Amino acid sequence: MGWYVGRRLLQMIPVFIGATLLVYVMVFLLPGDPVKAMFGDRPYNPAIADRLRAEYHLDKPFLEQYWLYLKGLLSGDLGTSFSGRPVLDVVASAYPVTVRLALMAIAFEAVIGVTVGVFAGLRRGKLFDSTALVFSMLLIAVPTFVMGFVLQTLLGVKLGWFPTTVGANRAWTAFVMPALVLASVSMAYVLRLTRTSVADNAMADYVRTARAKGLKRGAVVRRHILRNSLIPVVTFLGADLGALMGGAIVTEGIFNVPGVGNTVYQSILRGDGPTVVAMVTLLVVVFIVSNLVVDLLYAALDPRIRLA
Amino acid sequence: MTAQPAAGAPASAAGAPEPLLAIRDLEVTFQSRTSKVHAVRGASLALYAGRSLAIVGESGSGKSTTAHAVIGLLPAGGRVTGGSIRFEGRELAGASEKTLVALRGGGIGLVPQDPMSNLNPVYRVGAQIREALAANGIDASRSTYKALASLAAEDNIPDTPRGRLYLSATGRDALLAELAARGFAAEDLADALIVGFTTGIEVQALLMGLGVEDAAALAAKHVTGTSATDRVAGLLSEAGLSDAARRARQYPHEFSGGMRQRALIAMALAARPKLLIADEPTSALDVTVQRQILDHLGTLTRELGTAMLLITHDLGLAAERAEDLVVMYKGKVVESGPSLEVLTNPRHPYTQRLVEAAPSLASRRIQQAKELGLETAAGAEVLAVTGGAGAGTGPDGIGQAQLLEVRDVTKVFPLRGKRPWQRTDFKAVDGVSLTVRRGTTAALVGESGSGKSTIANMVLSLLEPTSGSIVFDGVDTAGLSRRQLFEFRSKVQPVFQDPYGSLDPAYSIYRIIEEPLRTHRVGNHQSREARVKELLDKVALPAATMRRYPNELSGGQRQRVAVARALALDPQMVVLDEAVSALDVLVQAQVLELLGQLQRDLGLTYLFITHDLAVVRQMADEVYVMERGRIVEQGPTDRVFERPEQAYTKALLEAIPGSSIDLGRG
Repeated sequence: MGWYVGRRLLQMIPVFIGATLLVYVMVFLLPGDPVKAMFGDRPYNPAIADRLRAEYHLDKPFLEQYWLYLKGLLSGDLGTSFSGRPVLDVVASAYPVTVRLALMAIAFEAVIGVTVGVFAGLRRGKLFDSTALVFSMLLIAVPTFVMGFVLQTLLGVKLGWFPTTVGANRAWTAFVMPALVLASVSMAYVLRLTRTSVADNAMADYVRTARAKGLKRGAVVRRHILRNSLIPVVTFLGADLGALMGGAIVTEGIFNVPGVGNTVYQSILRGDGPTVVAMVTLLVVVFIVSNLVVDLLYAALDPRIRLA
Repeated sequence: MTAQPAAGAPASAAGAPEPLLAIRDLEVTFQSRTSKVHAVRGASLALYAGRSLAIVGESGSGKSTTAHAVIGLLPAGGRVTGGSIRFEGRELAGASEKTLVALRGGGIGLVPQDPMSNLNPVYRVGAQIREALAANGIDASRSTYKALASLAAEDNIPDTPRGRLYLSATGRDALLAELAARGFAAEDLADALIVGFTTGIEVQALLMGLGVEDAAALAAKHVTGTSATDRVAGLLSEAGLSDAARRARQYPHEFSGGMRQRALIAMALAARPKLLIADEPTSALDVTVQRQILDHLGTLTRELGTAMLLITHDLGLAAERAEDLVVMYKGKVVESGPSLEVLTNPRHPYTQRLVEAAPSLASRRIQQAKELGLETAAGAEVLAVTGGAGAGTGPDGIGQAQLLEVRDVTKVFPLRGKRPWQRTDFKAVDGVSLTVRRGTTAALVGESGSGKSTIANMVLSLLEPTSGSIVFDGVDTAGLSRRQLFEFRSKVQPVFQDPYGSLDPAYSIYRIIEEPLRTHRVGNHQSREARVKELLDKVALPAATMRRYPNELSGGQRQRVAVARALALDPQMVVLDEAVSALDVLVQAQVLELLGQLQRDLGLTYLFITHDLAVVRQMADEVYVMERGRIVEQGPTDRVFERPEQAYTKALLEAIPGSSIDLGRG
């Protein structure tokens, strides 16, 4: 186990270098001159432009730029964004927002998806099951932005239950709608996965054995069906957390959430290399770590799996 | 014939005891959206307290369905649609789930068929047994020893507190320490004192035997009842598992098949049911393990006075293990009565066929034929019934030249060690040599894990030997080029065990049989079609079969298709890896007969790999017995069966169900 975690953490080093390099190349290849873009409507001043280029190492060859960037990273300096804010600041303001949004979305997925899935699985072929399947199909089929606007109009504007946008508002209520929208598709998958898994396990031999022992129906479901069925679901949720942390550009756009998705999108538009590289690299790290956690969780839930 | 055991009601009217379980005219129907299947159609049987009854039949005969109906655990879609099931005088057909829950575990226990899938993989074995105690209100951890003890003790043990209490782990340690301090040879007693199993009165008796003066006082001092954990260990010990306390903390995947089945037996008997349903309890296990488990199950149910309903497809096994027999065929009871009587004097045609085909009995029959003398008409007739090909009939001219020679072959698999850089070697096959003569059958016999399938894979050139050589038809297979290997594959063909898994469900039968021909570019479209028809004819399947798909065929038909595919390229040798193990007895007999006939007609050479010695007797000329990667005994079939030299071979032979039964002139 220790070996396993160690090896997985070591694997992060090449992944980290590869990811930063790749993102760096892509930003470097972006069309347009970011320095020119910084002037905006103001007249272009070559002297200032040269100074800016020197400041951001834009006058140096690509590999040197990258090397200077890595050196900065190792000494804890993420660089400065083109707007003049330290990149660390940008990251520190965007990530907590996204973490909050992602956690709420996961909570919705888990609670609604698993609960409905378990009941549907236990009543396979019955009315509740069919309804749940149609509902999940709808969630998967309806595009995120449609769902977002509908909820915004209905719950936000008409009924006034929740704030329509997030903006600077950090209240939990402000996050309910975006989290629901963000969770919707995965929720449908969680529902279906749970349902199939529960229905399969309900027919397993060991469930019959458990009943033959004289266990009551409730105990059989709780102890023998649920635990075994949740193994694939929990791993799906773990992997999904990594994906949700990447932020959702569409959802964050609709509800004006100042999270990772929004920030990365704006930075790409501005050609803001340092910010894009930092944000995306952090995303890669989050993804690797959440995958590692999923694998460990899997081994913890299923004693048959030995990590080595 | 059916009237006899079904006479539950009249019997009780006449003053005889009422049966523990009485099934009358039971009907079970499986209803799916499109069809209705009557799985059980008017079955009747009666089982008295403390007795044993076996239901025998092939798959689909309704034997398991009947058993599941008793405990109210029919698979989805199944329903009791008629008749009655009375247990201790109570009607179970149509009983509420609550009634059934109350009855399961404490009233009726179930030992299921497949030990691999019947334990929940995510819980420790001990926890799953403790569940069985808790579900039936026997919570040893909460000082309800009395309830547990009165259930466990029945009437055999005197009604003293110590008779009802079990020895705990701490009590045992303290007792042994005190004995050692007093200078007694405590080690002798250590094995007899089993945590959670040995009762106070037994401890007292053991101490008296040792010559302890205050045996009663000492037993009373140290035997004060157990925790649930100790009791679980005791139940596992009782089911024949050694080192039970440690085993209870392990997960099912750390157990072998036999150990799992013991755990399931411990689970089923935990709440001391009056009736134990054993549904093919050993069909997934090796013969020797099978024997141990059945012996143990028999002893245990006798001691506890538990009635046993044994479900099996093996007539020999049923007759050996149960006092009475019920033979089921297509959902109906066709014959019933005392086991030996049914076996020696079967009246119904189906039972007669079953008795004739049972491999375990067939090998007995060969034995008898030998004793009678093969020359006599009677002997020949007896032998003819079995369809035996090899045994007894010596090689006539052919069979002298070696076709396959395995020379001192070893196969080592590297296993992952504790540290990432460590490797431990596992010798699956260790210096095995064997020869197969052209036109004969050599059987490789052994239990699972003995390395016999590894040899099959090496003979087929699917695996490379670590050392040693395999010579086929004078050529060492190790040195074959890709092209030669391709050619070699057409000469040696396999038939595998699982007729469900080894045929591609998406291929039609025609495509399955034609595929090797196409791969080896044999003939054109027309000639290949003609060849497929010819092959189907050879394996006694109608030509129309070729337009069907594997899922439309029965197990026996599929195995015939597998044989046809193996024969497509006119191979010289066929490797049969447990080729008939998954089939019902009658089907098994048919396939064996087919194989024998094909061997005579085509001069085929067989390497027959199996764990089933009974089948070997009918098929093989030469037998190799494997144990842990080595050949421990080899010789002509008759010699090995009549005068086994090794203890292991003897154990294997004794483990054949029905070997102890003396048959009449069936």
